[in-house]
Amino acid sequence: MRIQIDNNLSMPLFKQLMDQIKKAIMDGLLKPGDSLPSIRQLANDLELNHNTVAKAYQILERDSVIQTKGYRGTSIHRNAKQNSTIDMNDSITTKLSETIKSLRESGATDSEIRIAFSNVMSNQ
Amino acid sequence: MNIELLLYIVLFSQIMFLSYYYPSRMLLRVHTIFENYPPNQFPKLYPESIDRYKKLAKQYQFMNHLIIGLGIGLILWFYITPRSGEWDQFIVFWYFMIQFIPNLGIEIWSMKYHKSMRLLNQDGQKEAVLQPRRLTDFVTKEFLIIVFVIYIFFVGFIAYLNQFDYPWFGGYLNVLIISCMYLFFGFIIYQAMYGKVKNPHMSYEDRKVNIQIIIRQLLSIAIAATIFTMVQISMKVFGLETFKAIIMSLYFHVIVFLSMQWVRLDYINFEVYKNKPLLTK
Repeated sequence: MRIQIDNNLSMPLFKQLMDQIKKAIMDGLLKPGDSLPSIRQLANDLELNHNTVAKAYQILERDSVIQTKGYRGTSIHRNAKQNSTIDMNDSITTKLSETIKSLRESGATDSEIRIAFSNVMSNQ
Repeated sequence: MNIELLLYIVLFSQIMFLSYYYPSRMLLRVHTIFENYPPNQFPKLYPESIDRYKKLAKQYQFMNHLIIGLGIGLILWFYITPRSGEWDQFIVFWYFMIQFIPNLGIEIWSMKYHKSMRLLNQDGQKEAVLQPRRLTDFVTKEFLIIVFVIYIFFVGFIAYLNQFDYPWFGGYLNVLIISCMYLFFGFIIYQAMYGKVKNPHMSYEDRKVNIQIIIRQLLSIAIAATIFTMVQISMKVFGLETFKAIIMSLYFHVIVFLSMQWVRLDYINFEVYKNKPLLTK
């Protein structure tokens, strides 16, 4: 199970991390009891400050999504699925803003983007 | 066979293996990368100009050629100078240290190379696997048990010899030295497993393979060093000191052989060193 963090997004890094862990739980990719990497391992792999990962883990632990058991490390909480709700509005707005920004940078006009967007939506 | 002649053969083999064969293999690998993965297609692989890397490769080769010359000179000096032989092992040891200098240079260069890669890395996207890494993901439990058993056997061996009051015997200082080596290797393994990513472009699969190689190499070297120390002490006990230089040279062969576990180039994912395609209208 892989996660991806994007420094260029406006969404805070700890929130990106939390949302992806929650999404993995909701998608069934992470199951209750599954072990998570240590704060140090994840922070170094993602080239993040340790406090950023610690903050994400703390909030997830507070929300009973994950649990920390001393030397056994961190694992997924048994009630994780019920406790993993994600506010999709934030992530949709962020992703869409990024896409629109890159389209504008590549020279697309706003009306072209609107037409393409409505075409794609109506074809779904 | 004459011990002196045997020493010349083993020392000549050490010269050629460490300063000719090993560098040749490494340079072949580097030149294969230059040819098959050129800077215009794999720009992220070259944080600096390729000419600079070619120059460094030439310097590495030149240094090794000088060391070969020095080694041949050493054998000639051994041949023409009447000696008692008691300093032979120290000479072999210090010659090995000189042979190691170009490779130390490569290590230092490698750190700078990865630092330049990190500084130039503009990619804001970082990826990680949500799975803890454990030592047993990289080496078998049996292998770890072997390392542990050899260490315990070594401690027992030293404790046993300590009863005999040999005036030359360092006693538990040997245990301390070997334990420090294990701790140092443990620290390197820990850094490889959980430390910062050195190469920001490397795929996770390649990183795992690299970690595995580091762990296997260090554990194998730890085993070899422990056995070598026991052999050296045993030789002193049994009065076989005339073979010490030969055994030491053979030990250096083993150490370098163990360090040659490189990943096959066709197993490495070089696609990560290409630039991402630009979004066009």
